[in-house]
Amino acid sequence: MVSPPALLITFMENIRFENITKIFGSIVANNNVSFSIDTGEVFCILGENGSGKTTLLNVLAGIYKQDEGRVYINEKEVNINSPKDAYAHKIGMVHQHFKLVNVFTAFENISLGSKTKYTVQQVVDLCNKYGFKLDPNKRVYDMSVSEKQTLEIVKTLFRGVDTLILDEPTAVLTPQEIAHLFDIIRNMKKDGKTIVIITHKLNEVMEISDRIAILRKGEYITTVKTSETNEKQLAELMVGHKIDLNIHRSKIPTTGVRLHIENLSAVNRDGEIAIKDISFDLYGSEILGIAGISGSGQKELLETIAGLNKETSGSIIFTNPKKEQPVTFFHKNIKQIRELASQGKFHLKDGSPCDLTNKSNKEVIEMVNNEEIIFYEDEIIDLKYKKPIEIRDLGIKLSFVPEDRLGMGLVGSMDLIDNMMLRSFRKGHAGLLDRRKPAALAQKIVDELEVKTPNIHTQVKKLSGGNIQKILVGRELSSRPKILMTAYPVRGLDINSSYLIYNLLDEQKKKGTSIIFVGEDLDVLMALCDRLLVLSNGHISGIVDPTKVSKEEIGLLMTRG
Amino acid sequence: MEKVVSKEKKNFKFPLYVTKKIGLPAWKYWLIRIVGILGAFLLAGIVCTILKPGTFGLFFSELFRGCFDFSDITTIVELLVLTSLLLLIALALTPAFKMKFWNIGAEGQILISCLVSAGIAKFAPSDLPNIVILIMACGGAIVAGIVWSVIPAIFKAFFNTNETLFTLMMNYIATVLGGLAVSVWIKSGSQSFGLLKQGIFSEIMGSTGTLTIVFAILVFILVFFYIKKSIHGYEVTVVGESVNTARYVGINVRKVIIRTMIFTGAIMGLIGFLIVCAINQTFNDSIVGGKGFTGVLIAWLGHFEPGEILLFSFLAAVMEQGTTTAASAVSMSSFLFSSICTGIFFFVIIACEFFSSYQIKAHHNKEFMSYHGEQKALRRKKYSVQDPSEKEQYRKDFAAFFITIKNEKLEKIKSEKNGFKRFVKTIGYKISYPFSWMKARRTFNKRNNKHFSFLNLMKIFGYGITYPVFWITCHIRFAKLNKKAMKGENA
Repeated sequence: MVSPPALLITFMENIRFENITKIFGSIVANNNVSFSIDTGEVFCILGENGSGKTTLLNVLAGIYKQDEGRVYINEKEVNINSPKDAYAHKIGMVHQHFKLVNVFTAFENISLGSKTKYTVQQVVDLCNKYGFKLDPNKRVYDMSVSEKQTLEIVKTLFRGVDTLILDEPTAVLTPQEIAHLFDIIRNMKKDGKTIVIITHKLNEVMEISDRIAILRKGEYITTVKTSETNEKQLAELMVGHKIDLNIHRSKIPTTGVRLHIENLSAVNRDGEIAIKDISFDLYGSEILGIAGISGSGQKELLETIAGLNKETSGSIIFTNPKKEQPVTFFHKNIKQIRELASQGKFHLKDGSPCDLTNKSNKEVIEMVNNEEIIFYEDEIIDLKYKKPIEIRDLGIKLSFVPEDRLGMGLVGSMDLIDNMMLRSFRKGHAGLLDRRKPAALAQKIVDELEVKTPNIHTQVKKLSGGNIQKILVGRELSSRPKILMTAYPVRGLDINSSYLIYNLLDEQKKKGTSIIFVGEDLDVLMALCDRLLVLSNGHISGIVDPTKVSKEEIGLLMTRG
Repeated sequence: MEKVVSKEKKNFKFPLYVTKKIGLPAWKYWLIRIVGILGAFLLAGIVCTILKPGTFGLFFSELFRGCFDFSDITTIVELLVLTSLLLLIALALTPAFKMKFWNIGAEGQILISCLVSAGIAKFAPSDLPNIVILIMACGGAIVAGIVWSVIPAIFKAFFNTNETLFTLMMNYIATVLGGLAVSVWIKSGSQSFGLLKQGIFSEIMGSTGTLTIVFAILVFILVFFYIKKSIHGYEVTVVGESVNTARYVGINVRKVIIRTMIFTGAIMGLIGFLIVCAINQTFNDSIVGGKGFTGVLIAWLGHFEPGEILLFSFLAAVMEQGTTTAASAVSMSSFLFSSICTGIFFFVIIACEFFSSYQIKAHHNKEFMSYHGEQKALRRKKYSVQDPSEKEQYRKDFAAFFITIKNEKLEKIKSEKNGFKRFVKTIGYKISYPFSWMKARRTFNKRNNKHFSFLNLMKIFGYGITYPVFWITCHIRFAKLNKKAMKGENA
């Protein structure tokens, strides 16, 4: 039997948006959005990145002020000008980027900025009530991401909040932590609180929510009841057309070891140990996924391999599959060829040993051009202590798509051509730049990857996230890499662009490239990768075959040790 | 009732707020700037009239005469020399600024090079030919400039010190060194350095600094290619935008910082040499006279683009030289007055920068907007300004009228058989396009009995210019009305 009051609460309208429009300059973030949220429900706002979900809820939380439209709470129009006003209406928001003081304890963070005095016991009581796991005396810098999030939620609840907005709460959590969070959300719902979740993950929406509002490109599409829909329908509503949600993993045999890493340790920028004793082999024609909670050393691992990290120990050995291949001038100059020949690395086409000491430069050039000089064995190079530019000079085609696109991979205020040039600007003549080849490359990438841009002279930062990523990936692939490292390549991209990137990586795999793929979405990692390396706190907690383990087992590995 | 009032007070919000402007078209941006520049000159004239009443017209005529007196070539040459000097300083700063290395030590870097070149020119053996002394002075100045600008660069590159504070403090050191040198060199009673007797440029076209113009042109071309076309310039831009990106693509950031500051220092040295040996031919510790800081402003206002920097150097030079002449004509302290005017100039231009990237908006309130709309309509009638809808109709009619005229003309040209004549006529048509547009407008207005008399124009102008005042009074009236309504309700 459902008791009458509960029934009443369930159907009472709590918050109503009416024709909300928010414009940033020429960008319309929200256009005429109207819908309502009921009291005591778990309400999901679903949409792709850039569809205006966060902006809309920021209007409710008092971060932004809407340009047009009204917000009603309990049938009364309200004027929310600051987060303080929002708290007065019992609305609180937990942002994606936590707003905590690092050197304070959990309790100090909770009492910070509130007029009423709390006791530690009150915090403990509240935690017990909903099932939070939080130590009030722990300092924030000692906390894991999940604990920080818990603290943010507790902090917001202590402000007497009835409506709790969570912005992408599961983005940084392991499967176990997500399950725990969902338990807490259900507890809060039982207590009569309204929970609004902003997300783009379909499976989680289906699991937790009562109703779902869908936004697309700033427009409100519809609200559906979770019990009456399925993932496929939601995806279609989100994107606006039918999409194929299958990631292709081609099965091809791997070739020999490309990269052999042994006992690799490195520190991060603050001088703390970020990775320790990492050892693994990377084969040709495979995608090696790297899973782990964010900040477990993924970034440092890639940067160390790319030569951006100086203080390292251990060895990184790269095997260039050159056996029985002719030497070219592509990355070796005549001096290097002579030196390698004297070390006995080459033989001639007919199998006789190669001796270049008595030959003139002209003869050597002719021999190379006729492909007469052949590598005797694969080239083996130690990459340790080599700077990025030295790695390039050695002819190792190692490409790196960093996590921070505009802060590291590209320069936002430069146009497409100049960004193409980032890798090749030294190839000019007499100190002057040569812009013709980069321009041709930019045009080629725009055509092949369908980059939406007015022209190739547009500043990169003016393009959308997906297009920026296409440019970066396109540039890194243009050098036909032997090893491709990608860090969170689909972060912030819409579904279509994400699947385009997955397909591109699969295509590269077929061409024999070894790929290291650092991802955050376990479903994607398990569907795309041939092997999965799980990092936990800077060391390897397991290398698994994604077809043979479950998501929960990987989640356990992520938190172990 | 008291409660209601207190609530009202709590809800009171300042009716304006500032937001970012995005996607301002280039022509609008330049329009704002041009209006700002004209406004700056106007404001300087107003200040002049306030200080010495009745000199508004005289100020402008003297300002013009001080810069563009075509009967006396010296004034124009001097103007160009001043422009070149400011241009050189701003150009020297540009590469470092592109790298986001905020070097505000131009003053000191130039002063120290001045000191070195003055010392070389004074104490060089007098039996050396003049040209050798000049080359020595130039070389010494360049080395001094490089040393003075590379010290902060090294500290920035290796210890990540703050370059702004560092370069600023280096200025004071340079000033003290300059004063010290003068007092050591001059042992006799008079505390002045005196004119240099050797190692100087001779007078060309009434000025000793004429060669500065040539150097400025050369440096302009050099900096233009360095920034836009050279590999070094590209590296500088990448380092400036993001050090992480620079490391990622294998640029040696330290090397780039130091190399760029060597480039800056070399030009600074050249400037110091020119100031001592060409323009002033003497030395004291305030010889640079704040031009180093003016150069910083110019480089900033020019967005580090050589072309824009040239424009602003010219305008600043006009302001400085013109107001100096004007001040002496209206019998004021010329140095003080020209400083005030230069200050006004930069103040207004910087305000324009603010208005081109931000806009002031009013908080949205439906009741107020409807009230405001009513008042606006009344005001339009008062000023006999066209309604927007009427205006739209007028525009459409005129466009149709103009197109018919245009087509007639074009057909006339097309019917011309002689190819050359047709070509000449086409060009003539294109050049006279704005005039034909104006002519068409006039005939159209005459036909439709729409006379834009001077009085009408003034009315429209008045409508526009007093709009902010109207807007504020509107707000006050609305608040009063609201209060009244509130009282009525409560009673």
